[in-house]
Amino acid sequence: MRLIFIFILSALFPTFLNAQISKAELIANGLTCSMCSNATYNQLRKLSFLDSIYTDVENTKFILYFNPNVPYDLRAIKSKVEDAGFSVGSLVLYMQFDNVAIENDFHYNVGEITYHFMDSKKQTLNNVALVKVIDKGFISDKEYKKYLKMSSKYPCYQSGKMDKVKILYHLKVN
Amino acid sequence: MKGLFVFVLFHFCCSAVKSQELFLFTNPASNVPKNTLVARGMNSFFQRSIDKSISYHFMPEIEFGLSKKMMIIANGFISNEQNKVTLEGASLLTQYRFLSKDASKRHFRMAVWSRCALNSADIHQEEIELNGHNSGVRIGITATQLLHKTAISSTISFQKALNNFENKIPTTYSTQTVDFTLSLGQLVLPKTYKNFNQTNVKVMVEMLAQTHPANGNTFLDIAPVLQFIFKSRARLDIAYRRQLFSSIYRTQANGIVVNFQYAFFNLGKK
Repeated sequence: MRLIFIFILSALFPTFLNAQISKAELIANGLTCSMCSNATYNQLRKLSFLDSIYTDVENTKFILYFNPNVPYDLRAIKSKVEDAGFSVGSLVLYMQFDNVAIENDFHYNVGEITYHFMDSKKQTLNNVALVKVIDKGFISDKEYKKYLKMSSKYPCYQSGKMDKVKILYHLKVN
Repeated sequence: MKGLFVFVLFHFCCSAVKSQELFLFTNPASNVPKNTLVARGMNSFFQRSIDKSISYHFMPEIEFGLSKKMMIIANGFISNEQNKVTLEGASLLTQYRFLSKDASKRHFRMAVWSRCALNSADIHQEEIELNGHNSGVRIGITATQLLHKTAISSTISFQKALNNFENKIPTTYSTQTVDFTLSLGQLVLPKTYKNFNQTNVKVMVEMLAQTHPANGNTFLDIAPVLQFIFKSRARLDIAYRRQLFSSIYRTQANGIVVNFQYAFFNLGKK
């Protein structure tokens, strides 16, 4: 009976709030010591859309496990790292796709969020794919300058905004 | 001539060594994280040159990160200078980080800061020290470079001393100083991080100099520091500060400092 209920529910609501991201790998820049990692961990811990966090102190890496029932805000992750006094070196998302054909300049809309793919080969993404957020503040300054050179083709990359799009992220298939 | 020596020594050190940045006698350009409160108790035991007795100062301190770029530090000054334990004064420091360049396990930061201090203690030396001895104002700029397990930090600051209430500054003393510091340190242990519970051991050397532009009088101190960090939130520093040379009249130049502090991370709701 319970299985039938779940089946009906999942048919009515084909995507749960965070069904597309199960976890993310965050590397923080600008720190070495464990006290700095602890400060960053304690900032991230306040994000309600994260279920749990595993910290790799040696590599200043944080594995973020998302709560599937709470809407996420990737920019809040960036803000928390910055509040700790550091910056995001990279944020790689473990993202769920169901036969989505992507190529450069492809826009993938999920609810209020638009994911704009850049610097990625034409391919079909299925199951869990690793995608990297390449917006300003999610990558090193050097990498950002590299992507900024492409922004003549993608003006929304520089501005971070697009008409009629509420939340915009730029992604690269990792 | 001594000013030139200090300048040359500082630049030699800058090119020779690098080190980790939670220094004892100076603050790095990095701030306390936002909504984090650090409670600190600094004990100094300096030998009075006049009778070899011990001058004890206790400085309770609260540090708080107001934002990612700004922090405030408030501390009080308690000593046994009057042959009894007395609260002599307090100070407030504000620091604003205006430059931050981060990369993997490295950063370069710059910050400006100011300290205002009120103190009622006897003025018994020409040296000006707003952190426990003099009333006045101080403004400074700090640059800090972190390179993996090593870091280097340097400050230049200007102090203007005011009378300690009824205790006036002798007219023969200069009231303005230029201060330089250079702090170097190295993370020694652990060799490889595995978790937050490992004790960190750091060795540091801080060089602290003051010059009085009015008369050219100068001192230079060296302070080796051994630092332990427990559970990635508590810190113990043990330091010995020693005068290398001085043309400034000082009554207690050499001594030991023991500091303990504890960080309460992220006190805000969000």
